[in-house]
Amino acid sequence: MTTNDSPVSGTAAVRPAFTLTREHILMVSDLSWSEDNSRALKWYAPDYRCHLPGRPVLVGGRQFLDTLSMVRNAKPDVKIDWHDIMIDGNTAVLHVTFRGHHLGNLFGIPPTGRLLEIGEIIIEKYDDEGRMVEFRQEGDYAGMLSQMGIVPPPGTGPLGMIVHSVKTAVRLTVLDRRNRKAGGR
Amino acid sequence: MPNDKNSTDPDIRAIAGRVLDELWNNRDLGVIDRHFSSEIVTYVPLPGQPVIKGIPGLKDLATQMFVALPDLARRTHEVIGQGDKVLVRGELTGTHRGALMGIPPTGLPTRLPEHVILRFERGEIVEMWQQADYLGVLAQLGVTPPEGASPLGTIAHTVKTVGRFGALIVKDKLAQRKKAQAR
Repeated sequence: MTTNDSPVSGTAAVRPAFTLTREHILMVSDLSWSEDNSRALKWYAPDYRCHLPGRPVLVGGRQFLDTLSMVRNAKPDVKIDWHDIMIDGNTAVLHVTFRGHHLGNLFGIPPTGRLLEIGEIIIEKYDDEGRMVEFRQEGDYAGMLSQMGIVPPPGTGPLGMIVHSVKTAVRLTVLDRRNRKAGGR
Repeated sequence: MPNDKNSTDPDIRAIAGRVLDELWNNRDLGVIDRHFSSEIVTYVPLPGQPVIKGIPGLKDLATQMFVALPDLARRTHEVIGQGDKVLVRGELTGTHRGALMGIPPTGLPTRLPEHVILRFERGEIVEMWQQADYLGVLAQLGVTPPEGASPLGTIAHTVKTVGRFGALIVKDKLAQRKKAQAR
């Protein structure tokens, strides 16, 4: 005999003890983006899974929080602009824009000093104790590379692409050298 | 047919999933007339794509996708809703046979995971926001240099890509000319 007792969002027969609220979502987000984000760890279930586009799935809160710390080091003034939070049972949809200046190494790209504005739609799922169990993000990373000046503006012709690429390579080499000298990683 | 149900009706979940399925899988542009408001505002993070206002621009976008990916198929993974808004998580797959984001056809398979939020008013969709892995598609088509490529590697990649795309553009033009002659 097989039974499925796991709560399904919005359709759980028994009302779970925990009710997901906007305040809870913001509390977990604030702790996770704070300087000492180890305080947020208890709000991630041990089998937490984080799906970021084009990256291997992160398992457990520690890996995820370390990634946030890396982003925070790269964009020390990062702010979240909350457009919308939708809540459906223990599932939430976050419609946000991340804004911050690129002042440290970000996924191997040396600091460009540019303002990055990345629109994102995130799905978060929580368990009955209020711990996050799943995180799925889609965001405008093509736009981010464009803002960094890494990918050429749309409509650039073949020769323009080569010129852009050479210029970008030179610029990034200079920035990389400067960053290393300054003691950045 | 647009219905008069109020915006908090749970039926908007069912409509949301069905609209995207019928549009992409049935190639039914009429879905846009039936379920989208004439005032629809669409936010798509395609590189260089401004906000789309109204129905004609939305139909143009869909038509471009059908040309770029003639075997386009869409799957819905989950639907989440609150109030007048619904999120649909799904993915589009298709073979790159026509210009896509300005990139000539490569014949390569593409997969675009997407999160789409739809806002309803009186049973009609009035706003639509998409976030999707377009960067992933660029990588699938071999446009972005491999992760960790050095500055010189990036130039080498671009030169190769430009050469490859030049050849593909010529090939695409010849194929189109042949098609036109056969008519």
